[in-house]
Amino acid sequence: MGTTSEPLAKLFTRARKPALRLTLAQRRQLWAYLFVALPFAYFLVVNFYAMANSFLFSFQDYITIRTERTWIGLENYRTVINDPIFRKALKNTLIFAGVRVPIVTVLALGTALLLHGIKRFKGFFRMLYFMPFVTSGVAIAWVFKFLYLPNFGLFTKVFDFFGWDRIFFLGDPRTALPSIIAVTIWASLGYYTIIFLAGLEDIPIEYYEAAMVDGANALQRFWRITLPLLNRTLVLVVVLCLISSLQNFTYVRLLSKDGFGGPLNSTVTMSLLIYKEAFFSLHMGRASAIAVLFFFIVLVATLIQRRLITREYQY
Amino acid sequence: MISMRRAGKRPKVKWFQAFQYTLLSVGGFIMIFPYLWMLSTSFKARGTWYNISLIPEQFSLEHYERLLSTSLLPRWYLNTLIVAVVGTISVVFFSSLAGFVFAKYHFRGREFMFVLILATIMIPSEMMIIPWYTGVAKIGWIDSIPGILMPGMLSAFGVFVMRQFMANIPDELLDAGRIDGVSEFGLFWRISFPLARPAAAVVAIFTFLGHWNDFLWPLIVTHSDRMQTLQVGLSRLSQLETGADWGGTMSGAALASIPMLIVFLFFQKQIISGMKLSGLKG
Repeated sequence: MGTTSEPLAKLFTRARKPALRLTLAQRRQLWAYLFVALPFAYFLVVNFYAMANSFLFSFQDYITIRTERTWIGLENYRTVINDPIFRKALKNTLIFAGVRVPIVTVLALGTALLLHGIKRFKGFFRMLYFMPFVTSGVAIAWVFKFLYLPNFGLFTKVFDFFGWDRIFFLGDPRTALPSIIAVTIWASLGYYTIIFLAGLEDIPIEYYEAAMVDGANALQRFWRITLPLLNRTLVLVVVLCLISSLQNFTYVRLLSKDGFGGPLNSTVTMSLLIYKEAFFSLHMGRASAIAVLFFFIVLVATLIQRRLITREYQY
Repeated sequence: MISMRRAGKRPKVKWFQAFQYTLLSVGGFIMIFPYLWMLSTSFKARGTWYNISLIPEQFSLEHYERLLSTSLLPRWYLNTLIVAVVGTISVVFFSSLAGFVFAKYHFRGREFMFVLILATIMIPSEMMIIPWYTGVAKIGWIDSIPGILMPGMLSAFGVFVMRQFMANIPDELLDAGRIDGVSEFGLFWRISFPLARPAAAVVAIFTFLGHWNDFLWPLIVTHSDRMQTLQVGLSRLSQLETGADWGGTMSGAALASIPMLIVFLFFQKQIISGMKLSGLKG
């Protein structure tokens, strides 16, 4: 509200003769509340009320087909934590993130540096790498499931052609999870590359010119200029990638052998287990307990990540 | 051009450029190949999907014909289109309205409300699907379009982007409108919203894309074959519908992904600028 508008505003109020004798500022506030009420209420109900319900359900013996629910305190949490499948899911979820985040970050940064350094076909390459971002996870999962197929899949045929020992990608408990992680890396590489590229474009070219005058080589320029100035972007990429690694439902559901984390639970993750417990075992209470634990893992991981990375690169 | 000539003079730089292009081409091939393989397989005649040639020996459209004529795929297209269009209109309108209020009005609780809305980005949908499901079941919206739409009518990302953009609209312009007797809603709808159209376009494209490709929630809330969205239907394509043939699955995948690839080709600029905007929140 600029000072110049005050006299005009007063004039305006007098002309309107307000019935409720509100000042202009008050009347505007009223409109603001009116406009924002519906959106805000929506977020309250759809997100916060839902979240609160998740917490409540996690303390209840809540099974879909039974009508009565009883309070059972921490019983759901106890059951869940003692369940070997849950432990496996927790481990797999952490492996998923632990493997995927560093690989994606390094590959995306590398690709962004390459793209930043070229002059021709930049848009073309950017488009190629970015395509999976607009493609549905279901379509991507089916294409890779087909490529990974045990006997007739293209990857197996390539292995046969070179005379290498066959790998049973999704069928072998040792390779199933890495095979799924590889697909998610392929699918998201372009997205993070674009974020890095935007960060690189924000670094003033004068810094590099000055460094070149001082005789800094390419490696020195990267470590001393690019990386420190890319700090914010790096944090963003790591955090976004971490969150998306924890939320891996589509790929795990469609690429694991039986859809529930097979073979031998080698690909079961927390998001998949929530779905399975809630909508197949019909244990809503237990599933909610897993969901609450999942929420805290996402939250804690994000907060730790933010701290660690900002500290490491502070200059 | 100058730099190209300079590059020509220094063999080291030239080699480095060649190295860059080689690496990018190898990467580009890895990115495009699954798409080529999907299309190639979708055109292979029934029973020849295991043939490893990239160009189909017998070119055939039978998989597409079967999916579009005898399966429910057209119906899934319609469901998805309705969900994506209604969801996008709602998200763009309400995000803009909320963004306008957060950018242009001063009122008690403004910062608190805005932070609370932004915080919802941090809540994983995995945590909310169970209460969403029980809530939607209570209203009787299971297996219906409103049920699918329920969690996607507004987005915190949209509110954030619109607020950032609307903050740049000068207050003087709104005051001038007030003097001319424009209502407060008119200030939003007739003055601010048209000015924020580039940002609204970004929000619209991202929302449409999100609704089109969404999987987890539609999977849970739909039961009958007729109410499924494209992605859910595709994930459950039965042996009957694909003719027990990978060619059928690949043509389904192509039908589900090609519309969005076309959208991407047209709106590349907005999508990339939208990603830069989303980068601001970091």
